[in-house]
Amino acid sequence: MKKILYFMVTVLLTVSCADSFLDIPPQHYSNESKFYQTQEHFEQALNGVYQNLRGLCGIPGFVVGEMRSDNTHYIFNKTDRGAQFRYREEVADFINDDQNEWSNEVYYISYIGISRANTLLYHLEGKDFPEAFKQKITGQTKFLRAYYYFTLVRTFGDVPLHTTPVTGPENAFLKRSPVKDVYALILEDVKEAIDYLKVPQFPQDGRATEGSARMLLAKVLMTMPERDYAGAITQLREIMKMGYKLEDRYSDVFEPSNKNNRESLFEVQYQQGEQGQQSDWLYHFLPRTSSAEIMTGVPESTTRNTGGWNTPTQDLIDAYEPGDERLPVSIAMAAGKKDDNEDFTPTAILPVGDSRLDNYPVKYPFINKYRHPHAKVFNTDDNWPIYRYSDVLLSLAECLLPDDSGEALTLVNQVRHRAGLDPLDTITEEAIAHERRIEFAFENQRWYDLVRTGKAIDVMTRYGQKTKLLYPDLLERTYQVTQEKLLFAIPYREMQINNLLEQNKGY
Amino acid sequence: MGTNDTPVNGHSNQGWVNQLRVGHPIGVFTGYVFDGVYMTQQEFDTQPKHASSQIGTVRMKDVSGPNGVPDGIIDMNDRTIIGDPNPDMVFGMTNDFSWNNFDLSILLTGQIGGDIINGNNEYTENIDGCFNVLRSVADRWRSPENPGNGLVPRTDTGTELYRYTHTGWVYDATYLSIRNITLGYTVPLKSNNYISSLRVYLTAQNLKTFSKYPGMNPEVSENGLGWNGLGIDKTTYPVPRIFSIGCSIKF
Repeated sequence: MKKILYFMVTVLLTVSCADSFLDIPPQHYSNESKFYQTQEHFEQALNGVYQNLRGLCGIPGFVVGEMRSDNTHYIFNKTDRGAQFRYREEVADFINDDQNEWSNEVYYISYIGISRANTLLYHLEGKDFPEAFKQKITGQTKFLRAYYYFTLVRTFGDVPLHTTPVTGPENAFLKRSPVKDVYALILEDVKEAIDYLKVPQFPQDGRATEGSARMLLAKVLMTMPERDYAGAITQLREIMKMGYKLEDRYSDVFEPSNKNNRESLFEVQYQQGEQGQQSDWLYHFLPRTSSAEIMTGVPESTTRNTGGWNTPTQDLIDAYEPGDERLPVSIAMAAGKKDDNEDFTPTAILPVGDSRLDNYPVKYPFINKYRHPHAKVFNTDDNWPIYRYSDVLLSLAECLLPDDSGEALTLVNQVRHRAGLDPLDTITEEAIAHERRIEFAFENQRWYDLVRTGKAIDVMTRYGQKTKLLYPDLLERTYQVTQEKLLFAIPYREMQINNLLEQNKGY
Repeated sequence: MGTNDTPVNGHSNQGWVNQLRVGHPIGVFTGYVFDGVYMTQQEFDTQPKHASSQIGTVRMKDVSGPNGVPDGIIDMNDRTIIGDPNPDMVFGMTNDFSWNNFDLSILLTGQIGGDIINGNNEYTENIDGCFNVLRSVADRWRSPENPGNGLVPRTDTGTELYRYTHTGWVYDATYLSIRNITLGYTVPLKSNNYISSLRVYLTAQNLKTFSKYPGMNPEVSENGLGWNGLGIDKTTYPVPRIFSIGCSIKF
């Protein structure tokens, strides 16, 4: 009996289970140790990298990409001077700083996307999936990572380069890498994406294709400090072989029933409904009012707390040529009256320039491009266009212009023809810039186009002088458009946390 | 603490006031140091300025620049520690008196030291023109000939510096409160088979709080006992005064 006891005690003291036996990961939600195992996991992870794009198409996107330019302004709200509204005005008026919520969001959202891409790529490496699957996933992920870095480098300049997941303080804090290193990574990523992605099949499903990747590469080659227009021309010509074509009417491009159409190279996907995938920027673009039903079509809808932003300027409205079909699609007027409390009530929606507008004491222009029927308040079905075929044509025209103005003229006239305009006889840089301004109005391209073509300081300084006369309450220090203002500030909190970062000049 | 010992919180001009910083008490207040108003053109020309400053706007102290020395510019580098919500001493005192059939019990509690920020000033001193404001705003700066009380700046747009947390909002939170005062009377009863004793009493809770704090109540915080909101009175429901009357009957 004693022997058995001794024996048992000895056995119990000398054997044990492995540490990992006691390590049970939480059963009720995914985490890194149980995820990234199957193909389905990687598809879900890729969806996460896509989904993050939506953040860039909301308020941060239009504040930084459109309100900063001469296309849009805002309706001053003297009853609510809250900081989140003031920050939007500051970007538009060129008095933004490193505390600006919206330019900071562009930084944070881009890095969230990059970190999701990095994590996915890290886990995908060495997995035993079929090569075709890995290429499909890697191609889309690298396209998206390149897109996020392209957004960062155009908005902030030098940025820290993260290509592997951050695992702790030892690799969390990096210095800002110079712009040419960021572009080197972007080029590497997008070229790999082009190799792996396939040409678009129509009807498209909204995922990135070889067309989307080549367009991104063309844009990069046309934006980087050492331009490569010849390379961009090659890319754009490849895209033109893929079967894209212009939609018959400009309004068809943005119809929610016509998502991912033959003109679309890449758009950010949304869906109205209860699952949290809806878009809502319409409610920021409409003028502020408690009775928004006439504009939204949804009973009891209000834009009292959300509206009055990205308002088309008279400068832009005047730039449309007579008969341009893009004007009524892009911009409409809300006409009505204001009561003693300065509350606006619209009673009619009219096209720009309509003679009946004179019958109404108060009228505001607003972006009409994304206004489509929807069922619930703040819940719309519109996708956000990133690259379109007309962008391919106009970009190619811009690249060809110095050497071959004949083909450039043909391309521009194709876009004009779709808009119901007569063809031009001669083509100039200004004509192409003007065509881009009209064609891509309110698609968050105008500010970046101005910077890219070197016209930002000139155009915005003149626009600033006009605007200060129009709105005398604007302070003296607004619209001081300097070289330093072509970039935005690295967020203040990032500067505090990471003492390796240096702030952009002028902030 | 944290990465590179970076302070936690306290990084923003509005809100996020309390900070955790190595070497300082928990929840110290961060903000600008109020330094008056640019009363004259000469003052404006010769003194440190914020990006939004004009003659007649508020002036904050130029505490530091990016290199640790004052740089003539008022910006985020001039935000500093402006108060400490932790009291030096918290005390209480219970007093019981009795005389004949009366009993009187007085509980006093209080705090010595500690600061409180009147966060309501973010609204009542907001001169953007969309809020109801304190009476002192009537004495604001209007022109060099009419400079007001030197504490309230002009109401031009874009002069948001006056909205940010600053030392003008920081007060001493020392207080003494009569927390509970109870006066009772034990009714003398002839012995009987029904009631063995009867006592009636009158109680007042939070009868009076003595304090120099001009806000509603120096005892409140924005976030209960959490450090993030400690010592900030921002529309927190003040501690109410309660009167009650009762009787205690033993059968």
